[in-house]
Amino acid sequence: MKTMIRRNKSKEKKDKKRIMLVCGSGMVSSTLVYPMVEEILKEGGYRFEIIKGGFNDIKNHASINLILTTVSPLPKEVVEMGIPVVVVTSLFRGDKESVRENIYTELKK
Amino acid sequence: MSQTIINVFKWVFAQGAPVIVPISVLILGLVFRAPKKGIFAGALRMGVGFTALFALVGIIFSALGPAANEMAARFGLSFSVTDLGWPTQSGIVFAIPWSMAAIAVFIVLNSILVATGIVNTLNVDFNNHWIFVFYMGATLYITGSWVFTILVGLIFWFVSLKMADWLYPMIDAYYDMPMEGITITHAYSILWAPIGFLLDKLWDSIPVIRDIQWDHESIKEKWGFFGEPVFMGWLIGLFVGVIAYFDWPPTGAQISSALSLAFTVSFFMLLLPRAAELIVAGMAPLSDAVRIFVTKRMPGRKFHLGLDAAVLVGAPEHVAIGVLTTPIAFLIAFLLPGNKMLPLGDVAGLFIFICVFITNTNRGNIFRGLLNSALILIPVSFWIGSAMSPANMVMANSTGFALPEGAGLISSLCVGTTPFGFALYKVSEFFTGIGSFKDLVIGISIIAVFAFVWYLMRNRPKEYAKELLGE
Repeated sequence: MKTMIRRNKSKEKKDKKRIMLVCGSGMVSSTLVYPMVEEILKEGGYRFEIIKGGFNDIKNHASINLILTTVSPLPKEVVEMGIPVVVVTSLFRGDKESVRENIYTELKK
Repeated sequence: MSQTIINVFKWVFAQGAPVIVPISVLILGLVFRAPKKGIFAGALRMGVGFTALFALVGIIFSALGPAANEMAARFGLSFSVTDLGWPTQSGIVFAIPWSMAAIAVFIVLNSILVATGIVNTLNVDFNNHWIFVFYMGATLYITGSWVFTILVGLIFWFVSLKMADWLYPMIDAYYDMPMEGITITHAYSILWAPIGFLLDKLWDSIPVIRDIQWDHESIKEKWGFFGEPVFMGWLIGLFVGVIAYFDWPPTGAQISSALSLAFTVSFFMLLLPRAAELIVAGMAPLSDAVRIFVTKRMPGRKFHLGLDAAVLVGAPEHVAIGVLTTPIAFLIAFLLPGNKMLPLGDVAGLFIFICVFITNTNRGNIFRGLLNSALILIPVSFWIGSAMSPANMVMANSTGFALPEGAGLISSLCVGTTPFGFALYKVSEFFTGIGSFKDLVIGISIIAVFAFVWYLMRNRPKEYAKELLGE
Protein backbone atom coordinates (compact mmCIF):
# COMPACT_ATOMS: atom_id res chain seq x y z
CA MET A 1 0.00 0.00 0.00
CA LYS A 2 2.73 2.39 0.99
CA THR A 3 4.75 1.74 -2.12
CA MET A 4 1.75 2.49 -4.25
CA ILE A 5 1.26 5.86 -2.65
CA ARG A 6 4.90 6.71 -3.13
CA ARG A 7 4.77 5.72 -6.77
CA ASN A 8 1.75 7.91 -7.40
CA LYS A 9 3.54 10.82 -5.80
CA SER A 10 6.59 10.43 -7.97
CA LYS A 11 4.32 10.22 -11.02
CA GLU A 12 2.76 13.52 -10.10
CA LYS A 13 6.05 15.23 -10.70
CA LYS A 14 5.79 14.24 -14.31
CA ASP A 15 4.45 16.86 -16.65
CA LYS A 16 0.73 16.83 -17.11
CA LYS A 17 -0.11 15.66 -20.62
CA ARG A 18 -2.65 17.68 -22.54
CA ILE A 19 -4.50 15.25 -24.75
CA MET A 20 -7.02 16.26 -27.33
CA LEU A 21 -9.65 13.63 -28.16
CA VAL A 22 -11.48 14.45 -31.39
CA CYS A 23 -14.12 13.05 -33.69
CA GLY A 24 -16.17 14.36 -36.61
CA SER A 25 -18.87 16.07 -34.63
CA GLY A 26 -17.05 16.46 -31.33
CA MET A 27 -20.09 14.81 -29.80
CA VAL A 28 -20.65 11.17 -30.51
CA SER A 29 -17.71 8.89 -31.16
CA SER A 30 -15.28 10.90 -29.03
CA THR A 31 -17.77 10.64 -26.16
CA LEU A 32 -18.14 6.91 -26.68
CA VAL A 33 -14.40 6.17 -26.59
CA TYR A 34 -13.71 8.64 -23.79
CA PRO A 35 -13.99 6.12 -20.93
CA MET A 36 -11.69 3.66 -22.72
CA VAL A 37 -9.09 6.32 -23.46
CA GLU A 38 -9.26 7.56 -19.89
CA GLU A 39 -8.68 4.04 -18.63
CA ILE A 40 -5.66 3.52 -20.88
CA LEU A 41 -4.08 6.75 -19.68
CA LYS A 42 -4.79 5.94 -16.01
CA GLU A 43 -3.26 2.50 -16.42
CA GLY A 44 -0.13 4.11 -17.81
CA GLY A 45 0.13 6.20 -14.66
CA TYR A 46 0.08 9.46 -16.59
CA ARG A 47 -1.09 12.77 -15.26
CA PHE A 48 -3.35 13.98 -17.99
CA GLU A 49 -6.11 16.25 -19.05
CA ILE A 50 -8.42 15.22 -21.89
CA ILE A 51 -9.89 17.94 -24.03
CA LYS A 52 -12.74 16.68 -26.17
CA GLY A 53 -13.92 18.27 -29.36
CA GLY A 54 -14.36 18.23 -33.11
CA PHE A 55 -11.28 18.15 -35.31
CA ASN A 56 -11.88 21.79 -36.16
CA ASP A 57 -11.40 22.70 -32.49
CA ILE A 58 -7.78 21.55 -32.34
CA LYS A 59 -6.47 24.90 -33.51
CA ASN A 60 -8.22 26.60 -30.58
CA HIS A 61 -6.11 24.87 -27.97
CA ALA A 62 -2.49 25.54 -27.15
CA SER A 63 0.29 23.11 -26.19
CA ILE A 64 -1.46 19.84 -26.96
CA ASN A 65 0.89 16.87 -26.43
CA LEU A 66 -1.11 14.28 -28.31
CA ILE A 67 -4.13 14.06 -30.56
CA LEU A 68 -6.34 11.01 -30.29
CA THR A 69 -8.81 10.78 -33.13
CA THR A 70 -11.58 8.63 -34.55
CA VAL A 71 -11.47 10.72 -37.74
CA SER A 72 -9.00 9.52 -40.28
CA PRO A 73 -7.35 11.01 -42.24
CA LEU A 74 -7.25 14.29 -40.36
CA PRO A 75 -7.32 17.50 -42.44
CA LYS A 76 -4.02 18.71 -43.76
CA GLU A 77 -3.87 21.82 -41.59
CA VAL A 78 -4.11 19.63 -38.48
CA VAL A 79 -1.39 17.30 -39.72
CA GLU A 80 0.79 20.33 -40.43
CA MET A 81 0.64 21.36 -36.77
CA GLY A 82 3.08 18.53 -36.16
CA ILE A 83 1.36 17.21 -33.04
CA PRO A 84 1.64 13.42 -32.66
CA VAL A 85 -1.56 11.64 -33.66
CA VAL A 86 -2.91 8.25 -32.63
CA VAL A 87 -6.00 6.90 -34.38
CA VAL A 88 -8.21 5.21 -31.80
CA THR A 89 -10.94 3.92 -34.10
CA SER A 90 -9.99 0.31 -33.42
CA LEU A 91 -11.21 0.73 -29.84
CA PHE A 92 -14.64 0.14 -31.37
CA ARG A 93 -13.40 -3.29 -32.37
CA GLY A 94 -12.30 -3.91 -28.81
CA ASP A 95 -8.65 -3.73 -29.82
CA LYS A 96 -7.37 -1.95 -26.75
CA GLU A 97 -3.86 -3.40 -26.83
CA SER A 98 -2.59 -1.81 -30.04
CA VAL A 99 -4.12 1.55 -29.17
CA ARG A 100 -2.57 1.40 -25.71
CA GLU A 101 0.80 0.61 -27.20
CA ASN A 102 0.60 3.45 -29.72
CA ILE A 103 -0.45 5.96 -27.09
CA TYR A 104 2.33 4.98 -24.68
CA THR A 105 4.91 5.07 -27.46
CA GLU A 106 3.90 8.58 -28.48
CA LEU A 107 3.79 9.85 -24.91
CA LYS A 108 7.22 8.47 -24.10
CA LYS A 109 8.87 10.31 -26.98
CA MET B 1 -50.05 -4.62 -2.93
CA SER B 2 -50.36 -5.23 -6.66
CA GLN B 3 -52.22 -1.94 -6.85
CA THR B 4 -49.20 -0.20 -5.31
CA ILE B 5 -46.88 -1.76 -7.86
CA ILE B 6 -49.13 -0.66 -10.69
CA ASN B 7 -49.20 2.84 -9.24
CA VAL B 8 -45.43 2.89 -9.01
CA PHE B 9 -45.17 1.87 -12.66
CA LYS B 10 -47.73 4.49 -13.63
CA TRP B 11 -45.79 7.10 -11.74
CA VAL B 12 -42.48 6.09 -13.38
CA PHE B 13 -43.94 6.29 -16.87
CA ALA B 14 -45.50 9.66 -16.12
CA GLN B 15 -42.05 11.07 -15.32
CA GLY B 16 -40.96 11.15 -18.94
CA ALA B 17 -37.59 10.69 -20.56
CA PRO B 18 -35.26 11.99 -17.81
CA VAL B 19 -36.44 9.17 -15.52
CA ILE B 20 -37.50 6.35 -17.84
CA VAL B 21 -34.49 6.31 -20.14
CA PRO B 22 -31.86 6.20 -17.38
CA ILE B 23 -33.83 3.39 -15.74
CA SER B 24 -33.86 1.40 -18.98
CA VAL B 25 -30.11 2.03 -19.36
CA LEU B 26 -29.57 0.73 -15.83
CA ILE B 27 -31.58 -2.43 -16.44
CA LEU B 28 -29.95 -3.15 -19.81
CA GLY B 29 -26.55 -2.38 -18.35
CA LEU B 30 -27.11 -5.06 -15.72
CA VAL B 31 -28.30 -7.53 -18.37
CA PHE B 32 -25.20 -6.97 -20.51
CA ARG B 33 -22.95 -6.86 -17.43
CA ALA B 34 -21.62 -3.36 -17.80
CA PRO B 35 -19.47 -2.11 -14.92
CA LYS B 36 -21.94 -0.88 -12.29
CA LYS B 37 -20.12 2.32 -11.51
CA GLY B 38 -20.05 3.38 -15.14
CA ILE B 39 -23.69 2.50 -15.67
CA PHE B 40 -24.86 4.56 -12.68
CA ALA B 41 -22.76 7.56 -13.64
CA GLY B 42 -24.04 7.17 -17.20
CA ALA B 43 -27.67 6.99 -16.18
CA LEU B 44 -27.25 10.14 -14.15
CA ARG B 45 -25.64 12.01 -17.05
CA MET B 46 -28.43 10.91 -19.31
CA GLY B 47 -31.05 12.35 -17.00
CA VAL B 48 -29.12 15.60 -16.90
CA GLY B 49 -28.79 15.55 -20.70
CA PHE B 50 -32.55 15.27 -21.15
CA THR B 51 -33.17 18.03 -18.66
CA ALA B 52 -30.71 20.24 -20.54
CA LEU B 53 -32.38 19.39 -23.83
CA PHE B 54 -35.83 20.32 -22.53
CA ALA B 55 -34.52 23.60 -21.16
CA LEU B 56 -32.98 24.46 -24.54
CA VAL B 57 -36.11 23.53 -26.47
CA GLY B 58 -38.13 25.71 -24.11
CA ILE B 59 -35.82 28.66 -24.63
CA ILE B 60 -35.74 28.38 -28.40
CA PHE B 61 -39.52 28.16 -28.69
CA SER B 62 -40.14 31.13 -26.43
CA ALA B 63 -37.89 33.20 -28.70
CA LEU B 64 -38.73 31.75 -32.08
CA GLY B 65 -42.48 31.25 -31.67
CA PRO B 66 -43.45 34.94 -31.69
CA ALA B 67 -41.04 35.65 -34.57
CA ALA B 68 -42.51 32.82 -36.66
CA ASN B 69 -46.02 34.18 -36.02
CA GLU B 70 -44.92 37.65 -37.14
CA MET B 71 -43.34 36.25 -40.32
CA ALA B 72 -46.51 34.38 -41.14
CA ALA B 73 -48.71 37.39 -40.43
CA ARG B 74 -46.63 39.91 -42.36
CA PHE B 75 -45.29 37.97 -45.32
CA GLY B 76 -47.31 34.77 -45.39
CA LEU B 77 -44.03 32.93 -44.89
CA SER B 78 -45.35 29.93 -43.12
CA PHE B 79 -42.63 27.99 -41.41
CA SER B 80 -45.00 25.93 -39.32
CA VAL B 81 -42.36 23.29 -38.56
CA THR B 82 -39.15 23.99 -36.66
CA ASP B 83 -36.05 21.92 -37.34
CA LEU B 84 -34.78 21.10 -33.86
CA GLY B 85 -31.70 19.31 -35.12
CA TRP B 86 -30.50 15.76 -34.71
CA PRO B 87 -29.39 16.17 -31.11
CA THR B 88 -32.98 16.96 -30.11
CA GLN B 89 -34.41 14.48 -32.60
CA SER B 90 -32.37 11.60 -31.23
CA GLY B 91 -33.46 12.73 -27.75
CA ILE B 92 -37.10 12.34 -28.79
CA VAL B 93 -36.30 8.84 -30.07
CA PHE B 94 -34.38 7.86 -26.95
CA ALA B 95 -37.37 8.97 -24.89
CA ILE B 96 -39.29 5.99 -26.32
CA PRO B 97 -39.20 3.55 -23.38
CA TRP B 98 -38.09 0.56 -25.49
CA SER B 99 -35.53 2.44 -27.64
CA MET B 100 -32.41 1.27 -25.81
CA ALA B 101 -33.66 -2.32 -25.70
CA ALA B 102 -34.44 -2.21 -29.43
CA ILE B 103 -30.90 -1.04 -30.21
CA ALA B 104 -29.40 -3.77 -28.05
CA VAL B 105 -31.56 -6.36 -29.85
CA PHE B 106 -30.47 -5.00 -33.25
CA ILE B 107 -26.81 -5.40 -32.32
CA VAL B 108 -27.28 -8.91 -30.95
CA LEU B 109 -29.26 -9.91 -34.08
CA ASN B 110 -26.52 -8.35 -36.18
CA SER B 111 -23.91 -10.55 -34.53
CA ILE B 112 -26.02 -13.62 -35.33
CA LEU B 113 -26.27 -12.54 -38.99
CA VAL B 114 -22.51 -12.10 -39.09
CA ALA B 115 -21.87 -15.45 -37.42
CA THR B 116 -24.10 -17.18 -39.96
CA GLY B 117 -22.52 -15.30 -42.87
CA ILE B 118 -25.70 -13.55 -44.00
CA VAL B 119 -24.01 -10.16 -43.64
CA ASN B 120 -20.35 -9.29 -43.16
CA THR B 121 -20.78 -6.07 -41.25
CA LEU B 122 -21.24 -5.61 -37.53
CA ASN B 123 -22.79 -2.22 -36.85
CA VAL B 124 -21.35 -1.18 -33.50
CA ASP B 125 -22.44 2.44 -33.89
CA PHE B 126 -24.89 2.25 -30.98
CA ASN B 127 -26.02 5.87 -31.05
CA ASN B 128 -26.87 6.04 -34.75
CA HIS B 129 -29.27 3.14 -34.51
CA TRP B 130 -31.77 5.77 -33.43
CA ILE B 131 -32.84 6.40 -37.03
CA PHE B 132 -34.23 2.84 -37.26
CA VAL B 133 -35.99 3.33 -33.94
CA PHE B 134 -37.30 6.68 -35.16
CA TYR B 135 -39.17 5.14 -38.10
CA MET B 136 -40.28 2.28 -35.86
CA GLY B 137 -41.59 4.77 -33.30
CA ALA B 138 -43.32 6.81 -36.01
CA THR B 139 -44.99 3.63 -37.30
CA LEU B 140 -46.04 2.50 -33.83
CA TYR B 141 -47.41 5.81 -32.58
CA ILE B 142 -49.22 6.59 -35.84
CA THR B 143 -50.52 3.16 -36.85
CA GLY B 144 -50.53 1.30 -33.52
CA SER B 145 -49.34 -1.84 -35.28
CA TRP B 146 -46.43 -3.65 -33.63
CA VAL B 147 -46.15 -6.00 -36.62
CA PHE B 148 -45.49 -3.13 -39.02
CA THR B 149 -43.29 -1.38 -36.47
CA ILE B 150 -41.01 -4.41 -36.26
CA LEU B 151 -41.08 -4.95 -40.04
CA VAL B 152 -40.14 -1.32 -40.74
CA GLY B 153 -37.27 -1.53 -38.28
CA LEU B 154 -35.94 -4.85 -39.51
CA ILE B 155 -36.11 -4.06 -43.22
CA PHE B 156 -34.58 -0.59 -42.87
CA TRP B 157 -31.82 -1.94 -40.61
CA PHE B 158 -31.10 -4.99 -42.78
CA VAL B 159 -30.88 -2.98 -46.00
CA SER B 160 -28.46 -0.58 -44.30
CA LEU B 161 -26.24 -3.49 -43.29
CA LYS B 162 -26.30 -4.87 -46.83
CA MET B 163 -25.40 -1.44 -48.18
CA ALA B 164 -22.46 -1.29 -45.78
CA ASP B 165 -21.27 -4.67 -47.11
CA TRP B 166 -21.71 -3.46 -50.66
CA LEU B 167 -19.78 -0.23 -50.10
CA TYR B 168 -16.89 -1.76 -48.18
CA PRO B 169 -14.50 -2.14 -51.17
CA MET B 170 -14.80 1.51 -52.17
CA ILE B 171 -14.49 2.87 -48.61
CA ASP B 172 -11.34 0.89 -48.16
CA ALA B 173 -9.91 2.16 -51.46
CA TYR B 174 -11.02 5.78 -51.21
CA TYR B 175 -9.90 6.61 -47.68
CA ASP B 176 -6.46 5.91 -46.42
CA MET B 177 -7.80 4.06 -43.41
CA PRO B 178 -5.40 3.25 -40.60
CA MET B 179 -6.92 -0.19 -40.08
CA GLU B 180 -8.57 -2.78 -42.25
CA GLY B 181 -12.14 -3.85 -42.10
CA ILE B 182 -13.84 -0.50 -41.53
CA THR B 183 -17.09 0.22 -43.29
CA ILE B 184 -19.84 2.75 -42.68
CA THR B 185 -23.28 1.81 -41.41
CA HIS B 186 -24.51 5.37 -41.02
CA ALA B 187 -27.88 4.90 -42.73
CA TYR B 188 -28.41 8.64 -43.30
CA SER B 189 -25.40 8.88 -45.60
CA ILE B 190 -24.73 5.44 -47.10
CA LEU B 191 -28.20 5.00 -48.57
CA TRP B 192 -27.38 7.92 -50.90
CA ALA B 193 -24.44 6.06 -52.44
CA PRO B 194 -26.31 4.38 -55.34
CA ILE B 195 -27.75 7.73 -56.42
CA GLY B 196 -24.34 9.30 -55.98
CA PHE B 197 -22.82 6.75 -58.36
CA LEU B 198 -25.58 7.28 -60.90
CA LEU B 199 -25.24 11.08 -60.82
CA ASP B 200 -21.50 10.78 -61.27
CA LYS B 201 -22.13 8.90 -64.52
CA LEU B 202 -24.68 11.52 -65.55
CA TRP B 203 -22.33 14.47 -64.94
CA ASP B 204 -19.61 12.63 -66.86
CA SER B 205 -21.81 12.71 -69.93
CA ILE B 206 -22.63 16.43 -69.85
CA PRO B 207 -20.15 18.79 -71.53
CA VAL B 208 -18.85 21.74 -69.46
CA ILE B 209 -20.16 20.28 -66.19
CA ARG B 210 -17.99 17.26 -66.86
CA ASP B 211 -14.85 19.38 -66.52
CA ILE B 212 -15.63 21.56 -63.52
CA GLN B 213 -13.34 21.12 -60.52
CA TRP B 214 -13.26 23.30 -57.41
CA ASP B 215 -10.36 23.81 -55.11
CA HIS B 216 -11.12 22.91 -51.52
CA GLU B 217 -8.35 24.95 -49.92
CA SER B 218 -9.70 28.32 -50.96
CA ILE B 219 -13.25 27.30 -50.04
CA LYS B 220 -12.34 26.57 -46.46
CA GLU B 221 -10.46 29.85 -46.14
CA LYS B 222 -13.18 31.99 -47.65
CA TRP B 223 -16.28 30.34 -46.22
CA GLY B 224 -15.00 28.68 -43.06
CA PHE B 225 -17.20 30.82 -40.80
CA PHE B 226 -20.31 29.10 -42.15
CA GLY B 227 -19.14 25.98 -40.38
CA GLU B 228 -19.21 27.73 -37.00
CA PRO B 229 -22.55 26.96 -35.33
CA VAL B 230 -22.35 30.02 -33.07
CA PHE B 231 -21.95 32.33 -36.02
CA MET B 232 -24.52 30.55 -38.17
CA GLY B 233 -27.02 30.54 -35.33
CA TRP B 234 -26.54 34.24 -34.79
CA LEU B 235 -26.95 34.96 -38.48
CA ILE B 236 -30.10 32.84 -38.82
CA GLY B 237 -31.60 34.43 -35.72
CA LEU B 238 -30.82 37.90 -37.00
CA PHE B 239 -32.18 37.12 -40.45
CA VAL B 240 -35.45 35.75 -39.09
CA GLY B 241 -35.63 38.64 -36.63
CA VAL B 242 -35.20 41.23 -39.37
CA ILE B 243 -37.90 39.64 -41.54
CA ALA B 244 -40.25 39.19 -38.60
CA TYR B 245 -39.89 42.50 -36.77
CA PHE B 246 -38.44 45.23 -38.97
CA ASP B 247 -40.30 48.21 -40.40
CA TRP B 248 -38.28 50.54 -42.55
CA PRO B 249 -36.62 52.41 -40.89
CA PRO B 250 -36.56 50.03 -37.91
CA THR B 251 -37.24 51.33 -34.43
CA GLY B 252 -34.86 50.73 -31.55
CA ALA B 253 -37.24 48.18 -30.05
CA GLN B 254 -37.37 46.26 -33.33
CA ILE B 255 -33.59 46.16 -33.59
CA SER B 256 -33.28 44.88 -30.05
CA SER B 257 -35.92 42.17 -30.69
CA ALA B 258 -33.98 40.97 -33.73
CA LEU B 259 -30.66 41.05 -31.87
CA SER B 260 -32.07 39.22 -28.90
CA LEU B 261 -33.40 36.51 -31.22
CA ALA B 262 -29.97 36.28 -32.87
CA PHE B 263 -28.23 35.68 -29.55
CA THR B 264 -30.86 33.19 -28.40
CA VAL B 265 -30.51 31.07 -31.55
CA SER B 266 -26.73 31.26 -31.29
CA PHE B 267 -26.95 30.15 -27.65
CA PHE B 268 -29.17 27.24 -28.69
CA MET B 269 -26.73 26.14 -31.39
CA LEU B 270 -23.80 26.35 -28.99
CA LEU B 271 -25.34 24.37 -26.14
CA LEU B 272 -27.40 21.82 -28.08
CA PRO B 273 -24.32 19.65 -28.75
CA ARG B 274 -23.44 19.73 -25.05
CA ALA B 275 -26.87 18.36 -24.15
CA ALA B 276 -26.56 15.66 -26.81
CA GLU B 277 -23.09 14.83 -25.57
CA LEU B 278 -24.42 14.12 -22.07
CA ILE B 279 -26.98 11.71 -23.47
CA VAL B 280 -24.35 9.94 -25.57
CA ALA B 281 -21.97 9.80 -22.58
CA GLY B 282 -24.81 8.23 -20.64
CA MET B 283 -25.16 5.40 -23.11
CA ALA B 284 -21.40 4.87 -23.55
CA PRO B 285 -21.06 2.17 -20.84
CA LEU B 286 -24.08 0.31 -22.24
CA SER B 287 -22.82 0.63 -25.81
CA ASP B 288 -19.46 -0.76 -24.65
CA ALA B 289 -21.02 -3.64 -22.81
CA VAL B 290 -23.21 -4.65 -25.76
CA ARG B 291 -20.26 -4.46 -28.14
CA ILE B 292 -18.08 -6.58 -25.86
CA PHE B 293 -20.97 -9.01 -25.35
CA VAL B 294 -21.32 -9.67 -29.10
CA THR B 295 -17.67 -9.53 -30.17
CA LYS B 296 -16.65 -11.99 -27.44
CA ARG B 297 -19.08 -14.52 -28.86
CA MET B 298 -17.78 -14.34 -32.43
CA PRO B 299 -14.47 -16.12 -32.39
CA GLY B 300 -12.58 -16.46 -35.63
CA ARG B 301 -14.96 -15.06 -38.21
CA LYS B 302 -13.69 -12.00 -40.03
CA PHE B 303 -16.15 -9.16 -40.32
CA HIS B 304 -16.27 -5.47 -41.15
CA LEU B 305 -16.85 -3.00 -38.40
CA GLY B 306 -19.69 -0.56 -39.15
CA LEU B 307 -19.11 2.99 -37.95
CA ASP B 308 -20.48 6.52 -38.22
CA ALA B 309 -19.72 8.53 -41.39
CA ALA B 310 -18.21 11.04 -38.96
CA VAL B 311 -14.96 9.06 -38.99
CA LEU B 312 -14.49 10.04 -42.66
CA VAL B 313 -15.22 13.75 -42.61
CA GLY B 314 -11.65 14.84 -42.05
CA ALA B 315 -11.09 14.58 -45.81
CA PRO B 316 -10.85 18.09 -47.29
CA GLU B 317 -13.68 17.65 -49.79
CA HIS B 318 -16.08 16.78 -46.98
CA VAL B 319 -14.98 19.73 -44.88
CA ALA B 320 -15.52 22.07 -47.86
CA ILE B 321 -18.95 20.62 -48.60
CA GLY B 322 -19.92 20.83 -44.94
CA VAL B 323 -19.15 24.53 -45.02
CA LEU B 324 -20.89 25.35 -48.30
CA THR B 325 -24.05 23.30 -47.77
CA THR B 326 -24.96 25.47 -44.78
CA PRO B 327 -25.84 28.66 -46.71
CA ILE B 328 -27.23 26.55 -49.57
CA ALA B 329 -29.60 24.69 -47.27
CA PHE B 330 -30.74 27.97 -45.75
CA LEU B 331 -31.50 29.41 -49.19
CA ILE B 332 -33.30 26.26 -50.26
CA ALA B 333 -35.54 26.53 -47.19
CA PHE B 334 -36.91 29.82 -48.50
CA LEU B 335 -37.11 28.88 -52.17
CA LEU B 336 -38.29 25.30 -52.07
CA PRO B 337 -41.95 24.90 -53.01
CA GLY B 338 -43.94 23.11 -50.34
CA ASN B 339 -41.33 23.57 -47.64
CA LYS B 340 -42.76 24.17 -44.17
CA MET B 341 -39.59 23.73 -42.15
CA LEU B 342 -37.46 26.52 -40.77
CA PRO B 343 -33.90 25.16 -40.75
CA LEU B 344 -32.26 25.60 -37.40
CA GLY B 345 -30.65 22.80 -35.42
CA ASP B 346 -29.41 20.83 -38.41
CA VAL B 347 -28.53 23.54 -40.87
CA ALA B 348 -24.95 24.13 -39.73
CA GLY B 349 -23.68 20.75 -38.66
CA LEU B 350 -25.56 17.98 -40.41
CA PHE B 351 -24.80 17.95 -44.10
CA ILE B 352 -21.07 17.47 -43.68
CA PHE B 353 -21.97 13.90 -42.61
CA ILE B 354 -24.94 13.25 -44.88
CA CYS B 355 -23.18 14.39 -48.06
CA VAL B 356 -20.23 12.03 -47.60
CA PHE B 357 -21.55 9.40 -50.01
CA ILE B 358 -22.72 11.70 -52.75
CA THR B 359 -19.24 13.25 -52.76
CA ASN B 360 -16.90 10.30 -52.45
CA THR B 361 -18.90 8.45 -55.10
CA ASN B 362 -18.14 11.43 -57.36
CA ARG B 363 -14.39 11.08 -56.89
CA GLY B 364 -14.39 13.78 -54.22
CA ASN B 365 -15.35 16.42 -56.78
CA ILE B 366 -16.68 19.27 -54.64
CA PHE B 367 -18.70 20.84 -57.43
CA ARG B 368 -20.53 17.59 -58.11
CA GLY B 369 -21.03 16.91 -54.42
CA LEU B 370 -22.65 20.31 -54.03
CA LEU B 371 -24.76 19.91 -57.13
CA ASN B 372 -26.02 16.54 -55.90
CA SER B 373 -26.81 18.01 -52.48
CA ALA B 374 -28.54 21.11 -53.76
CA LEU B 375 -30.59 19.34 -56.43
CA ILE B 376 -31.64 16.25 -54.55
CA LEU B 377 -30.39 15.54 -51.06
CA ILE B 378 -31.23 18.83 -49.35
CA PRO B 379 -34.67 19.38 -50.93
CA VAL B 380 -35.63 15.78 -50.10
CA SER B 381 -34.49 16.33 -46.51
CA PHE B 382 -36.75 19.36 -46.21
CA TRP B 383 -39.78 17.64 -47.72
CA ILE B 384 -39.52 14.44 -45.73
CA GLY B 385 -38.48 16.29 -42.60
CA SER B 386 -41.62 18.44 -42.87
CA ALA B 387 -43.76 15.39 -43.66
CA MET B 388 -42.56 13.65 -40.50
CA SER B 389 -43.60 16.47 -38.17
CA PRO B 390 -47.03 14.99 -37.24
CA ALA B 391 -45.38 11.69 -36.31
CA ASN B 392 -42.76 13.61 -34.36
CA MET B 393 -45.44 15.48 -32.43
CA VAL B 394 -47.29 12.29 -31.50
CA MET B 395 -44.03 10.65 -30.53
CA ALA B 396 -42.92 13.55 -28.33
CA ASN B 397 -46.32 13.78 -26.66
CA SER B 398 -46.63 10.05 -26.04
CA THR B 399 -43.15 9.57 -24.63
CA GLY B 400 -43.15 12.47 -22.20
CA PHE B 401 -40.58 14.44 -24.16
CA ALA B 402 -41.34 17.85 -22.72
CA LEU B 403 -42.33 20.41 -25.32
CA PRO B 404 -43.18 23.89 -24.07
CA GLU B 405 -46.79 24.91 -24.17
CA GLY B 406 -47.78 26.59 -27.40
CA ALA B 407 -44.77 25.19 -29.23
CA GLY B 408 -45.29 24.83 -32.95
CA LEU B 409 -44.71 21.66 -34.94
CA ILE B 410 -41.32 20.08 -34.60
CA SER B 411 -39.19 17.84 -36.79
CA SER B 412 -35.64 17.72 -38.07
CA LEU B 413 -33.78 17.75 -41.37
CA CYS B 414 -31.99 14.67 -40.15
CA VAL B 415 -34.96 12.30 -40.39
CA GLY B 416 -35.57 13.66 -43.88
CA THR B 417 -32.25 12.29 -45.06
CA THR B 418 -33.46 8.68 -45.13
CA PRO B 419 -36.14 8.40 -47.84
CA PHE B 420 -35.94 4.63 -47.57
CA GLY B 421 -37.09 4.59 -43.94
CA PHE B 422 -39.76 7.14 -44.82
CA ALA B 423 -40.99 4.93 -47.68
CA LEU B 424 -41.38 1.92 -45.37
CA TYR B 425 -43.29 4.09 -42.93
CA LYS B 426 -45.60 5.33 -45.71
CA VAL B 427 -46.31 1.80 -46.90
CA SER B 428 -47.23 0.70 -43.38
CA GLU B 429 -49.51 3.70 -43.03
CA PHE B 430 -51.45 2.42 -46.02
CA PHE B 431 -51.62 -1.21 -44.94
CA THR B 432 -52.86 -0.32 -41.45
CA GLY B 433 -55.66 1.76 -42.91
CA ILE B 434 -54.26 5.06 -41.60
CA GLY B 435 -52.85 6.29 -44.89
CA SER B 436 -54.40 6.78 -48.30
CA PHE B 437 -53.53 5.19 -51.62
CA LYS B 438 -51.29 8.18 -52.24
CA ASP B 439 -49.12 7.18 -49.26
CA LEU B 440 -48.71 3.72 -50.75
CA VAL B 441 -47.71 5.18 -54.13
CA ILE B 442 -45.15 7.48 -52.51
CA GLY B 443 -43.68 4.65 -50.47
CA ILE B 444 -43.54 2.13 -53.30
CA SER B 445 -42.08 4.66 -55.76
CA ILE B 446 -39.22 5.56 -53.42
CA ILE B 447 -38.43 1.90 -52.77
CA ALA B 448 -38.64 1.08 -56.50
CA VAL B 449 -36.36 3.94 -57.52
CA PHE B 450 -33.89 3.03 -54.80
CA ALA B 451 -33.85 -0.63 -55.80
CA PHE B 452 -33.59 0.18 -59.52
CA VAL B 453 -30.71 2.63 -59.09
CA TRP B 454 -28.93 0.18 -56.84
CA TYR B 455 -29.42 -2.55 -59.46
CA LEU B 456 -27.93 -0.34 -62.20
CA MET B 457 -24.95 0.46 -59.99
CA ARG B 458 -24.59 -2.94 -58.35
CA ASN B 459 -21.05 -3.53 -59.63
CA ARG B 460 -19.90 0.02 -59.24
CA PRO B 461 -18.18 -0.03 -55.79
CA LYS B 462 -15.83 -2.79 -56.91
CA GLU B 463 -15.05 -1.16 -60.27
CA TYR B 464 -14.65 2.18 -58.57
CA ALA B 465 -12.25 0.71 -56.02
CA LYS B 466 -10.17 -0.65 -58.91
CA GLU B 467 -10.16 2.76 -60.61
CA LEU B 468 -9.12 4.47 -57.39
CA LEU B 469 -6.34 2.04 -56.64
CA GLY B 470 -5.20 2.00 -60.26
CA GLU B 471 -4.67 5.74 -60.36
